[in-house]
Amino acid sequence: MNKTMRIFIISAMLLLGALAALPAGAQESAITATINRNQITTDDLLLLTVSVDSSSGSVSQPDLPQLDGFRIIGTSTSTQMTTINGDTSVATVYQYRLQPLHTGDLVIPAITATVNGQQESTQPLPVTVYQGTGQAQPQQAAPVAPGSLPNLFNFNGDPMDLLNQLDQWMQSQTPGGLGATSIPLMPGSDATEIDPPAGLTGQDFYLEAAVDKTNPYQGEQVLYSLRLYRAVSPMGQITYNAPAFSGFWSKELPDQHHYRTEAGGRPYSVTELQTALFPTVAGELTIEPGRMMIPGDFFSAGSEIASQPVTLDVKPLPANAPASFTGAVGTFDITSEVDSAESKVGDTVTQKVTVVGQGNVETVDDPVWPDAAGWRVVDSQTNTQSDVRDGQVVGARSYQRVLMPTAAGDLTLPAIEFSYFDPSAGDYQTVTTESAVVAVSADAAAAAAQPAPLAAAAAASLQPELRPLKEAPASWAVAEDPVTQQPMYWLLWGVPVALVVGQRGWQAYRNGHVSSDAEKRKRQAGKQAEKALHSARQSSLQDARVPGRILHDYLTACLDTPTAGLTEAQLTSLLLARGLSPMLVVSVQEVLMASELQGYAPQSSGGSGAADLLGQVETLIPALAAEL
Amino acid sequence: MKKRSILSLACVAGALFIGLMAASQVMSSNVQADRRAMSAANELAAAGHLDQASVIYGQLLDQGVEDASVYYNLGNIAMQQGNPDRALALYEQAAELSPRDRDIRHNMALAREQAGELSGTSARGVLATIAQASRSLLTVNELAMLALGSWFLLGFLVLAYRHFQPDKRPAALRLAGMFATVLVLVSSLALVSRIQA
Repeated sequence: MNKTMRIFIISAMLLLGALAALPAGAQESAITATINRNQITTDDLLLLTVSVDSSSGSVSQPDLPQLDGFRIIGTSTSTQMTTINGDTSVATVYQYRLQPLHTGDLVIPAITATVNGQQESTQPLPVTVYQGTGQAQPQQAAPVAPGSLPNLFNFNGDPMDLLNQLDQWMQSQTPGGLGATSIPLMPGSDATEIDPPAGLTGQDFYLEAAVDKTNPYQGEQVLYSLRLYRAVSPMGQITYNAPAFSGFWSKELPDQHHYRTEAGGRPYSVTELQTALFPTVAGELTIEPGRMMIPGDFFSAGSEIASQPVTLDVKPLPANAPASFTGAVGTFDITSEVDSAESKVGDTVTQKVTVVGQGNVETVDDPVWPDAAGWRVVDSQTNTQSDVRDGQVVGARSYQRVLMPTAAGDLTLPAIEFSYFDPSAGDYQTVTTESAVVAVSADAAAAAAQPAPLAAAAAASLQPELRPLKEAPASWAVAEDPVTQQPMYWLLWGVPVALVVGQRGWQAYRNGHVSSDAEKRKRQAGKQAEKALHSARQSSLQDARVPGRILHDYLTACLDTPTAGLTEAQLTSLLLARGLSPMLVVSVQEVLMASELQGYAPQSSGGSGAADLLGQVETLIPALAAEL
Repeated sequence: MKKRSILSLACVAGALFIGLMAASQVMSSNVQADRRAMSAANELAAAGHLDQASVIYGQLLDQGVEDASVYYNLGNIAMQQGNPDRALALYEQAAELSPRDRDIRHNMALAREQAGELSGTSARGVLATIAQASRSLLTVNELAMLALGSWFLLGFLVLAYRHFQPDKRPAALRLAGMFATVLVLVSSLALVSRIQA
């Protein structure tokens, strides 16, 4: 191994050692999970809050694991931004309303999210669930009348406040008995009596799917109901697998409804689950069958029952949509308020716009914002909350827009139009906010009248020394993992090593190939020499030059160089260069010399005859074969 | 050297170059963010609305922008709010992304002075010294590419060196190999110490 190769290998080893010494980066967790209570009853709902700190870089949505013992009955997402001493942190908050399915010590497993390409997890959260009374627990916060939508317009800028209002309303709507199992065993005696479906003819279990309308408009809510009819009580819990609802945006309704009926001479308990569907495309859409797993007992295996598929013919929306239509279907209203009627140039005011109503509030696009002369939008935040009331999805989408006046005077914030398609009227409707006027004063006088904040004043002396703020660059640098955190980068380090190793391997292969060629040639030459010697003996050889020729032929074949024309000195140096021992070289020269002398002057040589020379050649060839 | 050898060496050099270019592609990408937001934040900051400007800069970072100018401007705001410790941290972040920017260096020195830190904090150990020296010259990604590039160069020189007969190997190749080895070691050690930091 030469010196360069040694340096290369030592470098590689040093690098590997250095890389092995790299510690795993210790970072503060960017994801946290909390629950509102750790002891609840089966009558209560648990609020799981997962907060993801978006300031940490690239963060994925949290991956909620299988929650054994809970059922998710609602989710919401909001963004929280906190600024303390100029330090801004932005957190995305995911809230899950969980309904406990049974009593006992339950655990919400670790929730993971990908932060800057690395998995981060929360701590598992233990929850103790006690048996409830069958009645929804009264809430500590101000109660909201059941059946009434909370005041969604009372949005004070805090998404959590809006969520809490919705949550209170929802809990006030929660019927008793929800917490026992997903499907109670038998209905109470007060359950409503309904007519049996045609397909129910006395089976133990029967599943029926239905929709409240089969010819809706695109975006209009359709209520999908799945009814389970049971004549017997299963040994375990029935598992429901909802259809995929391809072509729909769906929202599962939290309430279950219970009925009674009779068919084929058997009484049935009926449980109804409902899902609100919003067709996202026009045309014929088929909802796949809903499926339920019925657990087995000691005498029979479990079985699966399926409902019939349901087909809808979705009508497209009429073509004459107003310019302010952004996809809302249902009934909606819009309000707007400004936090201040007075401002100054360079200052900001906040405009809160809320779209509220019943329909596809979660999928609707933003309103078309009108041009506002003298105003510039410097920030905008959106928050969407939705819930279900009387089988209808209701909700609010709030926009908080920070606006900066760019000129003095009475500036108008124009009215905002919002159009929606009303399926009951079969036409588009438009609602409008009031316009607002803000008195904007010139900045210089206002700024002079106002004392500067202490910190800013204290820092003012620094300002001349500070280099100024930078403008946005032509292209932004992106927040992404350093190249060293990408596997491809480290794989590329292997390329030069692979090339050097490959080159060495190729050389070894080539050397082996050449060596085997020489060996083959040598064997062939030996055979030819043996044949020639045998033939010479058979013909009672008289010509003493023949042994010399045989030896020359052998050497020529082995060395791949003609030797007959070489001088004695040239032949000697060639043989020595090919690794022959000096003794053997001398022997070769002697035989060749004797063969030549006896061939041309047999009487003067006085040496051995041709036969003797043949014998010497015969002895030399194996020796040469061994050393060449 | 035979023509075939020259051709094969050229092929290897080409392959190494393509590999290096592929690696550099890993680093290059951009993000679409509203440049007007930065201008608006700058105007807010100039008008004394430091908190609001700070929020907008924070939103830019939230959108995936990780530009030295945003950290630098946030650092300036922290200085104006009389918080040199935070400003220093922000300037250091900016310098990490744009180490050769003189404005950042200048304001960082001011923040360090205000925070009461010594500008020439002595590095402990060889690794820390190398890391500190590299910090004012190269970003982590640039350093990573330098280390990888010098490693590729060393590999190429080894291949070229081995193509010559032992008695015909040029001394220049040997010298270049030694230079590449030193470059690989220094850049890799600096890279390791930067990653550790």
